[in-house]
Amino acid sequence: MIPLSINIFERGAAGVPSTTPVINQQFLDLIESYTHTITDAFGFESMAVEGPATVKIALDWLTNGLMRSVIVYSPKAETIWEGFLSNITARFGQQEVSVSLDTTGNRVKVRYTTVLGTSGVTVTSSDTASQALYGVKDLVISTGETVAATAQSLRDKVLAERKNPVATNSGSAETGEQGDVRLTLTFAGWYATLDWVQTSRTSTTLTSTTTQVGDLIQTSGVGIGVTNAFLSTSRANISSSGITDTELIAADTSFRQKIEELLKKGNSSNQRLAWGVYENREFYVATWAGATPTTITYKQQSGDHNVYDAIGNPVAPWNVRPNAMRQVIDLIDPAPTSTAQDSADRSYVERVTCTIASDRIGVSFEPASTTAVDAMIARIG
Amino acid sequence: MALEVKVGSIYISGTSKAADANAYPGSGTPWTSQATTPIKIAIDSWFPKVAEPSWVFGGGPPFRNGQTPVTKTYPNVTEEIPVILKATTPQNAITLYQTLDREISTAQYSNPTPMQVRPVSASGTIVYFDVYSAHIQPDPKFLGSEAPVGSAHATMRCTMTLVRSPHGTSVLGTSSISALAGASFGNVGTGSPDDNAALSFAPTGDMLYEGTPMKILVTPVGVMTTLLVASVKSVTYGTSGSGAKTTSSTTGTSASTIGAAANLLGTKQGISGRVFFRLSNCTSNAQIRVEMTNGGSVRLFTGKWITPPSGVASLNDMGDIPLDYLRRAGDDGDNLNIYIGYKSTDGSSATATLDYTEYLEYYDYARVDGFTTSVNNPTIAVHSFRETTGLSCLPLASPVAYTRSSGGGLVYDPANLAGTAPRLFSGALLWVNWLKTGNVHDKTDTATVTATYAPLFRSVS
Repeated sequence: MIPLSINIFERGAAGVPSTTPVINQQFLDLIESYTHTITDAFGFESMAVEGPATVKIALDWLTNGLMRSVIVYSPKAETIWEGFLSNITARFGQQEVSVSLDTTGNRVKVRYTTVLGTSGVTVTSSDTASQALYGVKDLVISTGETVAATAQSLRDKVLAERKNPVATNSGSAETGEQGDVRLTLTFAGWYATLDWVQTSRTSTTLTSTTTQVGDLIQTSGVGIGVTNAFLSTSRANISSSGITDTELIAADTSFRQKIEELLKKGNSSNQRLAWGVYENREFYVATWAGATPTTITYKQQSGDHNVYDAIGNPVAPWNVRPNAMRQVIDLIDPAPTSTAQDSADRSYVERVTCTIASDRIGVSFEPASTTAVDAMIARIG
Repeated sequence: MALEVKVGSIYISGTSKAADANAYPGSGTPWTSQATTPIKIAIDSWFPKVAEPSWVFGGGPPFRNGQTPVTKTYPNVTEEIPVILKATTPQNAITLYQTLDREISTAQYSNPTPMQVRPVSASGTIVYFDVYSAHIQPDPKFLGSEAPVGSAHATMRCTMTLVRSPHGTSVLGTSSISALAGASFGNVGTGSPDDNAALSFAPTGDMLYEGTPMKILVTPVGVMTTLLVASVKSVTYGTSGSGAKTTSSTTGTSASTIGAAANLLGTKQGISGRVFFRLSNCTSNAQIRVEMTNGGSVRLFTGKWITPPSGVASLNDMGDIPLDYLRRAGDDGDNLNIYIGYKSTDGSSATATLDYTEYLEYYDYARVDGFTTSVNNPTIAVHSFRETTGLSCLPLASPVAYTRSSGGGLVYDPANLAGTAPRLFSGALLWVNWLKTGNVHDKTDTATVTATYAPLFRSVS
């Protein structure tokens, strides 16, 4: 058997993950499938568990579940995924109910243009009750020609509609199989919260890109932690890029946008970087594995369901990570090239998906999403 | 073999030769006694169905011959038991059928109905299963038709279909069997007491080699905030290589520590390896990792860099040492040589002072945290089977960990459990270490440890 430990914790004040375990974890005894994804420019990306439930269990999760945090441990007590509950879908026979944080916004402002062509922006309006539950989630609305009062009215209207997670109900009323009660909990990695808060900065000082990234995750100064203290402030796993860039941040730029803008510039060796939020909500930055394509992290062989490390030890599917070179050892490379990142038998792993279900246990690998030159140039700004 | 079967409070004896004297007269509760029950199993050859293992296999054709087993579990068992209900009248037979039907339908209302089975013998061990769902399909065409001439009784034949737990246990309520009784443990890998002790395992049950759930209680002298616990085959402790490890290198260097005889083939296919480095101190810019060879200079494994707590003594879990490659490529004489890797995170001098190394050959390992023991709730419990008065001690769907008072089972603080709650295996030891606030490891600490288990059976005992 594969006893994953899925530890779920109550949301803390302002959405900050707490250490208070959710007492009612009946549903976790009922799950029938587990899936997680991890990518090289996000870290822990998504996780979903699905299974049958009772009406009572499903309603409890729909009402109280969003923003609960999760840490998933392997049977050997290794952290294999960590994040927060962002979407809940419950099926009650022919009816389906979903709640999600995706469309929530509890700090809103509106950008507009006056009839004279002057651009304006309202002050932000917040719903502190929602922020006390989920943390701050910015929403900027752009509208056309209007006056300030109208823009303010629009701001208040949007805030009223979007301050709390929206539930969507769908269903049918048909004869035939009525269906049962099933619940799906979908979690997002903590990196996603870097998109929640927008910032700006007027300084044009040139500073190391990775130093700026470290500054942007702090709980002081320009850090996102001043608003949402979700992430660790540790810089221990942020490798220096060796290059500098301006500290300037345009208005209405999310922390994620600025961080990715900095990291997409690569390092001083003209190499791409890989990054993400991993265990203990720590931010990692490292040179991408494709820079040394002959250093193989994972090996596979046709007809063998296992993934092996470079020496030949099996790696459990839930322990497989992206930013790695993978080789299928029984595929003959017709033109082996030591400097080529990818060949017939060797490829860079950009995303991994681990699936555990009654009939299937394994991991799938996704290669680099594109090799088009223009896309590559876009990645490096 | 004649079996004594009881479902809830209703006896169903194992013979089809029901005496007319046992026919239900419409009053009383004769089904509460083996000798007087009017309900019989219709065929002498009925035997509880043995839970069939469910395997997930991997690999295979067309690329190679055969498939490799990945994991094994046991699904619920569906039993069909033909029964005969004897009564003095057809109406009484129907009443008897309704009584039996109600008795087996309590799972969603109160508790799962227990089904107990044993060979007919005063000293036989009863095995208790949980019945999750059940129904009885009467066959009314025989009603009243099977009666010897001159006999005043009616017979109803039914098929009782049960969905029950794959395993039963011989233990009820709070009567789990002791594997370790109030043993004194030291929070250190050597000396008396040290951090491990043998577990006794008799009677054994059918899961001798697959793991039997345990309840482990650890009561430290003093405060505990993190518990590390494992069921192990062996513990290797050593101070080889101990002392200050100093470097300014940001890429790291390493030093040898202990060696352990691998002997990985043969009797150790199911165990994993895990290394712990105890540091007596560490600077804030030091990181350590575990490395392994089997005698050569090539590192067969290097673990992740971890940052130990600085300025205090710490016990650092370096994670698993993968042994499978040596299993496939090596022989019984291969050794494991464990190295401590160390580096500076910032290029200035960093020191990690190694006190000792422990290498575990283990079956299950768990880390429990998110709690603090105190005067009122001094004990941390890791609990893998049900302990409710009157109910069988079957495994919990998910183990739980919590602090509790020394005298009772009240839950004070729920704790977080990572890994696999240790199970009892044939010949296993229990290994226990713990940390205080700030992840401090005090090797002068002691604790009292108790472990109990409930043997599991797939059929009769």
